[in-house]
Amino acid sequence: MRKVQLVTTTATYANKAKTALRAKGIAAEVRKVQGGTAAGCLFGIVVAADDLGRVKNVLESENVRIIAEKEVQI
Amino acid sequence: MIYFDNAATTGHKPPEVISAVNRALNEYSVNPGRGGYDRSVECTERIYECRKKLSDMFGANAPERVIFTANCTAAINYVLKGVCRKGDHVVTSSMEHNAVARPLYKLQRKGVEVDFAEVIFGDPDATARSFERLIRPDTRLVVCTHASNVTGEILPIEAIGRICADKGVPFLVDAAQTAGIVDIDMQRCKIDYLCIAPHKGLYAPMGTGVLIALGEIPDTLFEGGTGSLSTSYDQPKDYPERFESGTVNVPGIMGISAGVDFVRKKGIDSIYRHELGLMTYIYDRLKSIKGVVLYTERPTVGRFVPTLSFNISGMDSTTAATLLAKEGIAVRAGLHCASMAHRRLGTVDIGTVRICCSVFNNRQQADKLLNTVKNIVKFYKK
Repeated sequence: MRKVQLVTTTATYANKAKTALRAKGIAAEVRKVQGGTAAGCLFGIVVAADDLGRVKNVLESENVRIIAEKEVQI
Repeated sequence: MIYFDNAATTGHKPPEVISAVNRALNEYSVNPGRGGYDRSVECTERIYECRKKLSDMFGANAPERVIFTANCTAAINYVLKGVCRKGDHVVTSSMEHNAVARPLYKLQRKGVEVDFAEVIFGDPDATARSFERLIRPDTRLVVCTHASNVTGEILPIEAIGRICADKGVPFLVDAAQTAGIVDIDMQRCKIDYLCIAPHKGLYAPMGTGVLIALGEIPDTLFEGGTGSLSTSYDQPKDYPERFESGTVNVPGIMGISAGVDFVRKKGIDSIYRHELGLMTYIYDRLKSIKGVVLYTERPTVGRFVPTLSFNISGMDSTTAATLLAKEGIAVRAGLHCASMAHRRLGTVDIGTVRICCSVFNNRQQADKLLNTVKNIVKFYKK
């Protein structure tokens, strides 16, 4: 299953995103961003690519800003 | 030791809190929000859970606005010094703790104008009107203790919050004496900044503080690493990390989390009724002892937290507290870092003996306290 990482501004927002998504029955995992050193330490949530549309809707309603979207390699 | 100094910090921490702190040291001695390994990510999740619990408990509906600080005083300083600038006007009460009074005094010397609303004992409507009269178009902030740490009297924060909201002035509440003891809903009370001492009414470890900032804080008190946007030398703008530079107090936060669970399980209302019931019991019996001076009316539900001040006639408060300590009873004497309140009560020269009940105090302890006070009065009258 293809997975995508949505990068949030802080670890707190990554956790807020995960909590909101899980409340809607969407699997999400908090993970530190790999290869994100250009902006320093970054966190995000890893979700199934198939859920992306629903995920973005939920996060928008929760005011969680996504600053980047990355393919997850491992 | 019989401990009645719970207004300073709750003297007995629930076993759940102690276990949570131990667990944090055993299992989460990692730096949250930094490492990418499982333990660090899990630790960040536990911290977020605590933010969520606090946000829910205080009606903030914004876990990301829950900021962990070193104590309630730090939380207050973050807001006062991050919001107020030269030329601004601030309104505060005549019963404030030095946690508010001292930073405001410093700001006054930097060109911030401060007015003091008189707290009218026993008349919350008149107190709210005192605040209303002082608010001006250039008022930048209203700051108010929720309850006096000297007398236990609760200030009408819901009415003051409504006035502030109507006038568009941000409202800071110092809830050091009330958080976890009486219900506080930030949305209902129109509170922009809530400052909490979790080591008191939430039974958390000392050295913990919480600021829930629904309002903006333009400036930071200090800057540093946040685990985010590290290539920028500007402090990140996102809350709560903006105000949490450096490693956070993980054992303390885990303790807060367990403390919130403890209070929720017992029920804030049930805890409050137990504590105030015991305080009323003490008040009534102290009142019947000739030679004991009380400073407030009888504590009633909704009007007081379980804190009261008294003196033994003709005796300095510190002497009375020392005599109580010799009998194994811990109380606080002096000015309680609140000289403003003591000036108002007329006790600035002698201070008062302060007692405060927690959920762990009981009738037997109250009787021991009362008998000891009786004996002190009897002995020193001879």
